[in-house]
Amino acid sequence: MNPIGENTFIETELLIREGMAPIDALRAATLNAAELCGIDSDNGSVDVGKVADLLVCRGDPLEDIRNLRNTLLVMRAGRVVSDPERLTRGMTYAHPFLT
Amino acid sequence: MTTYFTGVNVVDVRRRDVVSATTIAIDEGRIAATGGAAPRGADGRTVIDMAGAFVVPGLWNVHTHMGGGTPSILRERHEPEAERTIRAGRNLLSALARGVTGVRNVLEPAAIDLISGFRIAREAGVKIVVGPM
Repeated sequence: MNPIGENTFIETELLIREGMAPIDALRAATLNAAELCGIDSDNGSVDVGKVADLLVCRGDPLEDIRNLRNTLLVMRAGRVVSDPERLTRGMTYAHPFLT
Repeated sequence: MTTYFTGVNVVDVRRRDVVSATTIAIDEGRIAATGGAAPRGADGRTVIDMAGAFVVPGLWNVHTHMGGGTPSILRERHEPEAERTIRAGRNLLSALARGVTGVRNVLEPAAIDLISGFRIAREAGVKIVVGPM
């Protein structure tokens, strides 16, 4: 298995450990990445009109970036794809591949 | 139908700021509105109270080998295409569950049925950009 999620967390943690401001590390993992891909008009930040790709976590990630690991909800294009604490009972989309 | 997250702290990476105790409205797969108080009434609305939670944009990993993680590097070039393709789907679904909503896939060193791999991931919801292959 290639732990893409874990790698992404570790990358942001290492950027901060080497001196980057947490908000910039988070920007690197979101808006700057979308810019690199040429799709930042649609992705990469929480702005009105953009695709609703969201990570909701418990705890301030700017205070401790490891809080990104405390997943409360993941939304992709407006669809709830991860909801470990069942905050959105009935809304979670389960892919047939997983069921 | 509009979904509202209320009481959330939104990390605004564009302005390098945090908007505290606010509301996000989501409609038709997009962010319809931010800010303001929680809506009243429930007609055609889903309101999810997330007081104190932090909202960040879905994460991106722009250097991903989505089929990677073969048990033995020596086997990598000889493993069945189907095996690597299934692993790609698994890798991406697992990343998605942790908040990685987009990836840019680069060089796959071994055979992979990219069409199926991409289809599995896209159906699951991961946004994929194709990088250098």
